[in-house]
Amino acid sequence: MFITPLDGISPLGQTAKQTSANEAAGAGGAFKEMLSGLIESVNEADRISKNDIYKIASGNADDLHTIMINSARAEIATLMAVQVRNKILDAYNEIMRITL
Amino acid sequence: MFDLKGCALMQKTLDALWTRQKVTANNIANIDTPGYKSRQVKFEEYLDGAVLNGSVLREEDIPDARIVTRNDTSIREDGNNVDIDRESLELYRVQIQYEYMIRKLSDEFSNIKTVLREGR
Amino acid sequence: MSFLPSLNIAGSALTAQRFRMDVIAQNIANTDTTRTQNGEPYARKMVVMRERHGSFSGLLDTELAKVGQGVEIAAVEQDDKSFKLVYEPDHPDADGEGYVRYPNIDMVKEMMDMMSASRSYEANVSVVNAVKTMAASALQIGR
Repeated sequence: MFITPLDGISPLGQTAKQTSANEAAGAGGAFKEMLSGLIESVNEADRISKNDIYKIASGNADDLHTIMINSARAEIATLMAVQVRNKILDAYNEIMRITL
Repeated sequence: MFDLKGCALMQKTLDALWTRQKVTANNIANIDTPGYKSRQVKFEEYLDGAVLNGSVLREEDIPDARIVTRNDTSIREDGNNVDIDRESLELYRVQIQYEYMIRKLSDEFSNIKTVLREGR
Repeated sequence: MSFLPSLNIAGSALTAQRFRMDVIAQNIANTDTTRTQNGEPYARKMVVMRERHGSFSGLLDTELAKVGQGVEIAAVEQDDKSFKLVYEPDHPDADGEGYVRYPNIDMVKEMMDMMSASRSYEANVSVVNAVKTMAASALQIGR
C-alpha cells in the first residue's frame, strides 16, 4: 500500500462554490474570496497532516507535539468549513422560503 | 485566513522546550567525556526582550530558541564542566513545563471545537 | 532513526557506561593475575570516551548536529603505571631477587569508578523516562 500524502477536498469545494454563485448577486466578490480562502486553509491543513503520517512512518519525525498540533489544526479547519457550509445552506433555505 | 493566534506562542515554546530536552540529554550522556563543555538553550530571555520591545507577538515575531555552549571553568581535571545536578533539575523542569504547555494547548483546541460544534 | 532523538543520545550513553563497567569488572577480576598470554602481569585498562558526531545522515540534519548525538567509546587504553612489587620468593613468577610483579590495580579506585559509572548509567535512564513521559503527554493533544 503506497501512502500518497497529497489529497484535496474537492466535493466540499464544489458545493460551496455553487451555493455562493447562487446567492452572490451583488456582493459576490468578497464572499467568494472568503470562501475559497477557507477551502484553501482546510486543504492546506489536511495536506500537512497527511504529510506528517508519512514522516512518522518513515521515521523522520523529530518530536510528537508538532504532529499532534497539525492534526488538531486540520480537525478544527474541517469543523469550521462544515459549520460555514451549514450556515450558508440555512441562509439559502431561508431565502428560498421567503420568495415562495 | 485561518489563524489560531494564541497557539503560535505555545507551539514555539514547546519547540524550544523540546530542543532543551535534547540538549540536556546530550549533556547527561557526555558527563564522562573529557573536554566536553555543557550546552544550554536560551529562549526565555529572547521572549522577554521581544515583549518588552512592545512588538505584538505574531508568529513571525516570536524569537527562535538558540543553543549556546557554557564556558564556565570546570573543577575536573579532564576539562568536562557538566554539572549532573543542574542537568537533572533542568530535565525535570523541562518535563513539567512541557506537560503544562501541552495541557494548555489542548484546552485551547478543546474550547475552539466546543464553540464550533455549538448551534447544530 | 531520528524519531525522538534523545532516545538515541541516552542509548549511546547507556552502551558506553555499560562497556566502561565491563572494563572495570575485568580489572577487578584480574587484580592478582601475574601472568597473561604475553608473559607480563595484567595491565590495568581504562576507557576513553568522546562525543559522538554525525554519521552520513547527520550531516544533512544540522539541527541535530548542534544538539549533539551522544557519546561513544574512543579507545580502551592501558595504564602505564608500573607494576606493584611484592616480595614472594616462593612464587613461580618471582624474579631473580624474589619479587613478584602484581597488576597496578587499586581496588578502592576501581570501586569508586564502578560507582561513578553506575550513577552515570542511572542518570541516562532517567533521561529515557523523561522522554517517554513527554511523548506520551504529547499524544494527548486534542483528545
